Amino acid sequence: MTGIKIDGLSKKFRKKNVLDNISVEFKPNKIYGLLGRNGAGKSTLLNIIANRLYADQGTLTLDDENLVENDSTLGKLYLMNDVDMYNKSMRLDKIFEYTEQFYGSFDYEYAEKLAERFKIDTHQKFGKFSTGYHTIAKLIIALCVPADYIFLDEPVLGLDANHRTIFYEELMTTYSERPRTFVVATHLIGEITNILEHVMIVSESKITLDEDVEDILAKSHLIVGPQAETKDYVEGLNIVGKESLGNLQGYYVYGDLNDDKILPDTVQIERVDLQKMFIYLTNQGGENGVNK
Amino acid sequence: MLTSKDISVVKYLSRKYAEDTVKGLGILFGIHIIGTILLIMMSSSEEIPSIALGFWSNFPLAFYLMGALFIISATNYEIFAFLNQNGISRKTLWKNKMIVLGLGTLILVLIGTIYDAVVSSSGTNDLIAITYLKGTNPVVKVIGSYLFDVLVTFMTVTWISAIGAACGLLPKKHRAWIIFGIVMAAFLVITRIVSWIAMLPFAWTRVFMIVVKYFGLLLGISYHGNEYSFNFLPPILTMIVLAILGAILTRHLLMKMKIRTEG
Amino acid sequence: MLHFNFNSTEPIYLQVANQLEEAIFTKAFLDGTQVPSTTEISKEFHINPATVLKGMNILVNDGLLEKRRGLGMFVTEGAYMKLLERRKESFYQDYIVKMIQEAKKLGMNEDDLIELVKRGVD
Repeated sequence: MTGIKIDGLSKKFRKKNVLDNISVEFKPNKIYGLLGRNGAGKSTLLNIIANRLYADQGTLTLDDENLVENDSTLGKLYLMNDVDMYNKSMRLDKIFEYTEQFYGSFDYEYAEKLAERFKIDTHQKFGKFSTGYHTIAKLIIALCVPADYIFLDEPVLGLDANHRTIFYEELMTTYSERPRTFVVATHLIGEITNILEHVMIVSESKITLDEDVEDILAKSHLIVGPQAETKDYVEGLNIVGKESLGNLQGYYVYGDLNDDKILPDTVQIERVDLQKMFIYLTNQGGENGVNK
Repeated sequence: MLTSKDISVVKYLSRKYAEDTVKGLGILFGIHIIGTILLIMMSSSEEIPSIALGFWSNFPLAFYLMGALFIISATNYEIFAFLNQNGISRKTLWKNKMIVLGLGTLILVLIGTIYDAVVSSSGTNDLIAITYLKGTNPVVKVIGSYLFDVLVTFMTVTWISAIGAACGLLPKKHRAWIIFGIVMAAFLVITRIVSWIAMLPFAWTRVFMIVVKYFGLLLGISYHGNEYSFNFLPPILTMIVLAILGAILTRHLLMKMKIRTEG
Repeated sequence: MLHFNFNSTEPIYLQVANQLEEAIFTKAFLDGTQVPSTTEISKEFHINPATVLKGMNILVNDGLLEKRRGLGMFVTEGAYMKLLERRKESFYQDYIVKMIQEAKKLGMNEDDLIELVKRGVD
C-alpha cells in the first residue's frame, strides 16, 4: 500500500480559488489532522477525494491507481461529513447491510457495541434521527466499514461532551485493533491534539503546514522578554503570533531560531502548547506559508 | 461482464425502483377506488352495475406503469448520493441503471400488455399488429407487438433519463423555473400544432403523408400506387439507434453530476 | 489507576516514557507485573496508540519493560533496582560531584564536608 497521493490539485468556485495547487499525501495506518478555519478549503479537498466533486486540475491516486471514477479505489475509502447521503426513509440497520454489500464486509459486532454505547436505535429510519444522532449514526458506519482510508469532516460537531469522549475512546480502540488511516478535518483543535500523528493546515486555498506533530513541537518556540530586547532577538524569524504578558512581550515563532544571535539574559525561549500553536498557525495566510 | 459491485448496484436499484413504483401505483389505485366510490354515489341505480363492471378496465395500469417508469428514469440525485457514499462511481451507476431500466421496461410492458389483453376485450387490436405485422400469424403479431412496445418505451426511457440528468445539472435556484418554463413552452407549442392540424381538412392523413415523405425510410413505411407498405426492420433499427444515443447522452450528463454542498 | 498528566509542550511519547518510569520507581507497578496496554492508555487519555507505543519502547530499550508475546507489556525483573541504581548515579553526578566542586572552592576538606552532612541529616 502506498497511500493516497494528491498532486497539483486546484479548484475554483465562481472564479475564486478554493484550492490552489495542493499536493499532499496520506500514508497508510496513520492518523492525520486536517486543520484550518471554516471555509479554508478542507471540506472541498475531502469532497474531491471522495469523488463528490471534480477538481479543475490535478491528479489523485490511491495505492498508485487512479482515484477518480474508479470503483476499486473508491471502495477503499469512506468520507463522513455533514451532508447526508443516505436515503431518509432507510433504517439504519438496512444501511449497514447495504454498506456490507458495497464494501465487501461490515463489522456488525462492533456496530452493535457502538450502538449500545451511544444508545442509538438501529431500527430507526435515518431521516428520523436528531442532529446529534445523525452524526453518531454516520460515525458508527465510518468506524465499522472495512475501508483503509477514513475521512471524517468535523466528526464531533453537534455532539455533547459525553458522546465526544465516547467517540475519541472508540477511535483509539478501533485504531489499535485494526490500524488504518484516519483523516480528521476540523477547526476544533483542542480535544484531538494528542490523537494526531501528522498535521496539515489548509489556509486560504493552500497547504501552509504539512508535518509530523513531533516536528511541529520541536519547531515551536515562545520567546519572552522585555519589549525591546525580545523584538530585536526575533528579528528575521518566522513570527506567527504575539502576546503581551504584563510588561513582557511574547513572540510565537515557528521554525529555526537564529543560532548566531546572542540570547540576552532577560529573554527566555520556552516551549509552546501545541493547541495554542495550531491556533496561530491556522490563522497564518496562504501567501507566506509557515514552513521555514 | 458484471462485477459483484455491479450486482449490488442492480439489486439496490431494482429494489428502490420497485418500491417507488409500488408506492406510486398504490396511491393512484387508492385515488381510483375513491373516485369510483364517489362516482357510484353520484349515479343512478341503473348506472351502477356498469360502473362496477368497468372498475378494472377504467384503471389504466399500462399507462400508469409507463408513467412510473418515466419518473424513475428521470430522477438521479438521491441514487447518486447513496451510491457515492458507498464507493460506487457514476460510470457504474449509469451502466447498471440502464440494465435495470431495460429489464424494468421488459417486465412492465409485459404486465401492461397482459393487463390490457385480459381486462379490455379490444386488447389485441394493436396498431402495430394491423400495420407492420399484417398478414403474420397471431403468435408473431403478439411477440412483434410486444417487442415494438418495449423498444419504443426503452427509447423514451433513455431520453427522459437524459433530460432528467440535464435538469439535475441546473443550478438549484433556477431549476424549478427553467423546468417550468420548458414544460409550459412545450405545452403551448404542442397545443398550437395540434389545433392547427385539427383545423385542416383531411388533417390526419395529410400529417401521415408528410411523416411518410420525410421519415419513411427510418419508419419502414413507403407509398406505392395508392397503398402503404410497412417494413418492420427499419423502425426497429431506428429505435435501437435512438435508444443507444439516449443512453450515451445520459452517460455524458451523469458523469457531470456532483454532490450539492452547503457552501 | 493511572495518574498521568499530559501537557502539550513536551513530546507525548517522552511524557509517556517518563511517567511510566516514575510509576515503576514509586512501585505503583512492581517488578514482573503487567502495565496497562497501549490501547488502554490511548483510550483513557485520548492519545494516539503509536505514540504510546513509542514511549513504551524507550523503556523496553532501557530494559525496564519487556513485551511478552500474547500477554502484553510487563515490568522486567530487577527494573526497580536498575532504576534505583541509575537515579543514585544521577544523584551522585548532579549533586555530589557539584557539591564537592563547590566545597573545594570554599577550601573545605573531606572531614569538613562530612561534618556538614551530619549536621544536615540530624
